[in-house]
Amino acid sequence: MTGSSAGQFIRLGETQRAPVEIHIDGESISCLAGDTLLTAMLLNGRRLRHSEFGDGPRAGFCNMGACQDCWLLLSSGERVRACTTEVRDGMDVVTREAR
Amino acid sequence: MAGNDRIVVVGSGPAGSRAAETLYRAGCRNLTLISEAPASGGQIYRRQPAGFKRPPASLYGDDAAKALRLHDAFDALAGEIDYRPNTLVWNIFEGAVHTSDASGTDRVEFDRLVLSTGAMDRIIPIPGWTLPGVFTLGGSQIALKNQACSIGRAVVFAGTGPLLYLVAYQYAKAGANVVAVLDSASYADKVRGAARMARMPRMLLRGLAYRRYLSRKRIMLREGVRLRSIEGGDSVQGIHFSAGGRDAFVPCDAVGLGFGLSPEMQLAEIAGCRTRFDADNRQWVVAHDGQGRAGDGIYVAGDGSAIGGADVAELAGERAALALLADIGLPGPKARLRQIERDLGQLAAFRKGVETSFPFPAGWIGEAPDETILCRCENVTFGEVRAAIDRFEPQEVNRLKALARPGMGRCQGRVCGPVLAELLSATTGKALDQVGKLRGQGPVKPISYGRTCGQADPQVDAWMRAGEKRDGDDQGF
Amino acid sequence: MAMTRVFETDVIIIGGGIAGVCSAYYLARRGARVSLFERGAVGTQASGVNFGGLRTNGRAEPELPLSLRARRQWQKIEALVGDSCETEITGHVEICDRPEHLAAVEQWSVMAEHHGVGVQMLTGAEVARRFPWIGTKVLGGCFVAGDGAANPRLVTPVFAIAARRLGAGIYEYDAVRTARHDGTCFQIETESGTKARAPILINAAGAWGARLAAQFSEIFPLDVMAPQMVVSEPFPRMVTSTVDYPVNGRFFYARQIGRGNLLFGRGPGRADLDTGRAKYVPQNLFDASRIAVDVLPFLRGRNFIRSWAGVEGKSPDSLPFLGRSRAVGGLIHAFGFSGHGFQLGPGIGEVVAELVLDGRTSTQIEGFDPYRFEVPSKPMQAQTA
Repeated sequence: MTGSSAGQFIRLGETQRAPVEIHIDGESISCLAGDTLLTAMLLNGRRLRHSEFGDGPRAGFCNMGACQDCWLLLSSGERVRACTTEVRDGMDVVTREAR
Repeated sequence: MAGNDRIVVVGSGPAGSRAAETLYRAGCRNLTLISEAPASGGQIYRRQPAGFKRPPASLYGDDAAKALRLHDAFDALAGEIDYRPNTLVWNIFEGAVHTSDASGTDRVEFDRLVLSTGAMDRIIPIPGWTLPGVFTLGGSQIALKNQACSIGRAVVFAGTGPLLYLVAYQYAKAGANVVAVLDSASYADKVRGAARMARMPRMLLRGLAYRRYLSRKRIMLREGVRLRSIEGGDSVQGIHFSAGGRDAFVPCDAVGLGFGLSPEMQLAEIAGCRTRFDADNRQWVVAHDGQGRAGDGIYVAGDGSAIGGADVAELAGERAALALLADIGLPGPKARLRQIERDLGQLAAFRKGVETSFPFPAGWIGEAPDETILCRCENVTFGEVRAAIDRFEPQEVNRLKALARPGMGRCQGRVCGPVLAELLSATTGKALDQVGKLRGQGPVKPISYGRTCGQADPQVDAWMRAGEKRDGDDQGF
Repeated sequence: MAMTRVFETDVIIIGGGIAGVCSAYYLARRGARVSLFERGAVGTQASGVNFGGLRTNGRAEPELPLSLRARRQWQKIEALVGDSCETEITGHVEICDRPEHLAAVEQWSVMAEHHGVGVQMLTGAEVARRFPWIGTKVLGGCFVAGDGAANPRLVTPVFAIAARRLGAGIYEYDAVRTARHDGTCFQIETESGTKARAPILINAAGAWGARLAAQFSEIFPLDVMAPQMVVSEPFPRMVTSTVDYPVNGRFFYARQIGRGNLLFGRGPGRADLDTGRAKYVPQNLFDASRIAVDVLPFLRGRNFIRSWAGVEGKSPDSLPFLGRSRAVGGLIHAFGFSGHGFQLGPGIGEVVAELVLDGRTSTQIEGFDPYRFEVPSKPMQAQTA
């Protein structure tokens, strides 16, 4: 999935929210309403994407929509910036593009 | 009448909120406020999403009352004006701002424009800074404040600035495991700075209280630190630094990195505002007349024009609004303006103390190893940029960008642009202000073709549709 | 350069775009002493911010001999200047979805074959098979395999370095303040105080070429234009050829660079000769996006990250002013390339070198005769500042 089994982020609270299910490369992960896509993916793994230029995995940086390091591709063909996009049920992320 | 001027305010942080509120109170009804954020408050008083239940005190600490006042004032206003949240202003052209949101793109014409676009963390790349697990200090704070998450299981905060200690304190307080706080500023810097901050003892004491709290928790605090590298294969495994003449390594799985803030002034530049070099901070700021007037019908306020912090932003937002009102024949009370000036004067003196306490370690940039990534969007290394400087002898940074590609990626150089200028200055010996700055360009952030195509000229659209029909079964051409 | 005396040289070139810099390079290669003066850095205007297309496809007949000559230079660019400048010979296809356009392109292809361009006419099905990434249904296309693209930001600076290595003086950030002819020689004086004399002067001032010519009382009808570009974020490469497609009278053109960014153009932007700066016009970006999502449908969900325009000179018939001055002996005009001079650059350099050193060129340039237009007796508004 998205890196080693441990997540990068850990939740410190606010766990009483409605569950939401999204898909990352076909695998489903559960998260909570109000999570950003970045949060959801980093609670479940250590990376969001691979740099286009082969210098390794990336997991965002500024978390405030400025550095543009966390753009992801949905299976619908839509691009989303993970740190400013809230998860929606059924959201389907593709982290590997054929090159 | 004057109150009918079309006014657009960009940004809903402390500056934008106060500016809009002041304008509305004075009778401006043709008022549009556009913000990329889903809710007002900016980064500093950022709200948590619906469904989160933490009380304000746990989110904003000692500033909870201020945050609530700002939020309440905004909420009272939001229903009365043309408020467009979740909307990016990506360009300004001929008296209109160009916007983009989930439904498409649009343009909003204005007679007067207030830009309060905020700031992002100021960064110095160190080896390993693009590894998963490295976030900005501001980004680390957002993970906690907005998402109730820690960026890792063992977190090091590194860099410098007041945010360094604040975020570490907030993390520790929330139960996260903070391993170390590594400050490039020395103890001596802080002693010098404290003398200048003495006029606002409460704020000074607050900073000291954070440090005391961290010490009590037995969290490693180091000053005068030189960061060497962040280590790890596919994610962070630790951070190398030296302090007091000794090298050290601290294992961790996340790093919050930042060296103060950098104004988001791209829109101001696109609007034609002049910039000015602030030599003390080695930073460009938006030039204005002292009241926020930055061009014909253009006003700026808050960290997006020059870094001052949230309190300055609120006051500057109000001041810019008062300047605008005076320009359309609705001058506000003089006494209020004088009060704002007095308060801003005091805050400015305090700010000088902060800057003295946490100097930007610009010297690191010239010393960065060749293999370190300088531009994370385009994966351009310091070595590649140095080679281009050596080969082409560029006189200024925009030329260097064209030749070696740093700053050409998605972020438009907002992260690496200032670094590039420091590197060109350090490499050539030219003064920093002489190598220029990357020009702000639209789109200030990436925009989808699928959205912009909706604004196509009807003739072009018709041409393309006719082409589609050509081979259609039921519609001849 | 700090120089107060007048220095003598063989050729003075004014303008550090690709035309001027390539002229300096080919002159220096043949041993001429040459000094080039540029107001800013070389290759920053249209030469540096253009699409980077190396296209013979679709060129007007008068330009083909020069364009083909240039193409032979591009094929060996690395050997010439020690750097490929990201030159790629990917081929170039002009697609047609209107019968009248297809007919015009077929006619062009017959003419072009006489010049040896190497054209392949493709049917709609062949276009679809060969370029599966093209989303629009087309009637046919015209493909030139020998065309391609290069990185315009690198080409002129790299030629400038190569020219310097051959002994040319390339002086940047040194605008020419006055240029005159004293009966035997040209004498120029620059902002930095440099004075130079030479029997030959090359007017390679691009969009400012008519202003320079006016200093010698020559009036040319040169307008200003601003080609406008949009570039996407990088994504896996799929666009294997440069593609051209005319919409409503103006071309849309696109290519994807090796790093994955897709670049397309369709202007015009807005240029200002006095500031030397150009702005892109958002409406034209919207129109180009509209075309792009049909021609290259995978772009629909993608993002663009930058847009820009550059300052360029345009002649009434979009052909350059290239040839000797009738008014002043030793003055050679080489400007007004009208938005498609980048590919011609090395060809222009060779031709200018021949005109200077041989007195004639082996390439047909009659169509570029600077005096082919009737001109008003006074400089046009646009050229007087």
